[in-house]
Amino acid sequence: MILLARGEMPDSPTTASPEVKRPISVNARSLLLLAVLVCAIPFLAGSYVQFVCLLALINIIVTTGVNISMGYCGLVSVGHAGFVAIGAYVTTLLMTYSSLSFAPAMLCGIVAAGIAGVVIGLPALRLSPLYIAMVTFGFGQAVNLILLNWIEVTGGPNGMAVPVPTFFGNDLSNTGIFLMTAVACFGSLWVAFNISRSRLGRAFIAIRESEIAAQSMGVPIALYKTVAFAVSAMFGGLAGSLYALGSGYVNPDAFIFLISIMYVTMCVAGGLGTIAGPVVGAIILTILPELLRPFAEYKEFLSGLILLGFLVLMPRGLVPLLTSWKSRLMPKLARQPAPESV
Amino acid sequence: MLGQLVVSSLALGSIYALTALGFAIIYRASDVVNFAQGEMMMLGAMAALLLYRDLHLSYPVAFGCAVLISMAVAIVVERVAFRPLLHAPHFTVLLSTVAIAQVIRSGVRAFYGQELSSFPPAWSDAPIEVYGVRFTLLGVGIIATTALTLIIFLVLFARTNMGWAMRATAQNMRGAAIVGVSVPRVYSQTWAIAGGLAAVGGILLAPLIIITPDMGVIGNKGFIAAILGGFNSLGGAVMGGFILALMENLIGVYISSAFKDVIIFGCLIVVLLARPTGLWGTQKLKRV
Repeated sequence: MILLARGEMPDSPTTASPEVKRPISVNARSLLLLAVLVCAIPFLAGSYVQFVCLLALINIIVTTGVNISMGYCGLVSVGHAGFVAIGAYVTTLLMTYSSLSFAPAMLCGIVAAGIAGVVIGLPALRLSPLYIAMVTFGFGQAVNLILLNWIEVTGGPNGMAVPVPTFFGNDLSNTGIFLMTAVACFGSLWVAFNISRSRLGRAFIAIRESEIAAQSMGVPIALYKTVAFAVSAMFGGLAGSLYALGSGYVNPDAFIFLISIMYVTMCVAGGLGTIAGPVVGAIILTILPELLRPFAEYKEFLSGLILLGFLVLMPRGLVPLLTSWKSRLMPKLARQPAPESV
Repeated sequence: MLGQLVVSSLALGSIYALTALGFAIIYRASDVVNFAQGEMMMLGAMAALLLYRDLHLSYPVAFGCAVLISMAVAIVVERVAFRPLLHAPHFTVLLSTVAIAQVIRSGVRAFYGQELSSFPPAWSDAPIEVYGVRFTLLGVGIIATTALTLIIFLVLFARTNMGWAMRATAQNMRGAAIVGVSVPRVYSQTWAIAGGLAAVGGILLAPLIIITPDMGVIGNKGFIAAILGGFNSLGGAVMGGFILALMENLIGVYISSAFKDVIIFGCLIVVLLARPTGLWGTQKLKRV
């Protein structure tokens, strides 16, 4: 399977030489090995490490979604925490107030987030990137404020406890939720990969590169932009519902503006417009705060500095940088035809 | 009642207007939304607090020094977080301003602690009533200082070589460079002025709220105001500040204060649907 899709940023240096356009290929066996390793985490690691890994998997799902709208279609979203919040709260509310089991509740959460994505996508059709940023920013803030102030339903700032999900009469353990999340994560990556390689993905890239050119080639930009937002929001909704189940507790603090910014940062630090970039970014930036924990009051300061260093030294992200290094060091490897893709 | 609301919105509105103007001039000159503007406000307020309350300098001196400190920091911010990224993708530059905001905020917190302080007002905040409309000397002082700042800004912008260079760069960076404008210097000046405007806003705001290293969130209001008025129109951004403050007060009084911000975002989306570039903004034409 090919882990890197061909979606470099418009002015990236890699587009200059033709051979570096070839994606890095990873064979299916090593990917399977990776999946097995991830699924083995709950059996090998302690509960703390397991929870951090769960968060990383959830963040990968969100950033993969952000990458579809932002990396491929060029629609900036600084309110993605809003979609995640909708997924989390719809799932929790349905499980609390109705007798729905976790699976249909999650499905409703995903659909609700998707609908929100369409609603937010509609005004964004007419707007330039800055104003799309504004609309998504406003959306994220609005969701957060509603969660904070609609105390009778959402519990306000105190949040809500999530009922324990049951699976055929048995309580789903943390391990079960972890495995489910891992499956969802690999599934999302597979979906995102296929989108990026399909007619839809190529249309997204065309819109990102030049809206006017795309339109004149017959790409229905209004439809596709809305689709990009909806798909990206549904990824957020999925991640949100998994977060609710995994943490057992939701409160508005988990979905503030800074979290939305963090999702975007993960994508940019890893490399926008590649499949592997957001994965790498999500893993690094989920683990980094945990590693900085011993520094207590300087933690935020250090993570800010590290982030700034990341952005200034690798403005196009880690993955595109590695790709271009690899093709420079090993031109033969990069020129080999990719093995059969999934 | 309505007159009262308008009068009491003016003071808050002028603070939003200053911040919005800072956002707008950076955006016009360098096509970047500087999300560290709120932190520049906080920095101004913090510096003024230290100089005025702890070092017992007189108010105008403390005010001036705090503004100068913020301008110096803004120049450093431009050098560190913007200049190296001149040719980088847009999102990266945007995020680097967010990162530098986090560095400033947490740096100040590490240095100063999470202490809550209040700024002793330089003018009396006892209410005065004229023709049934109440206001305070503090409010008048805020409005007057803002007016003075805006006049100084206008003179700099419209009457000096620096202003000419700034406007030329905003219009066409390459063209300006060709006719001999030092574009890097214009960037420094623009960011310094924006930092100064934010600092003035922050210092004026200081007596009205509790000062913490997190007070920079108010900078978001400047961002919203600039969007409302039109990001590429300086006058629009200033007007946006006043309109936003008025809307906040009206909605807070007549509809609901808890859902005030939600309703304002709703209104904003409606405004943007009708006028995608804000009330006074103009559409940039794109060539294919």
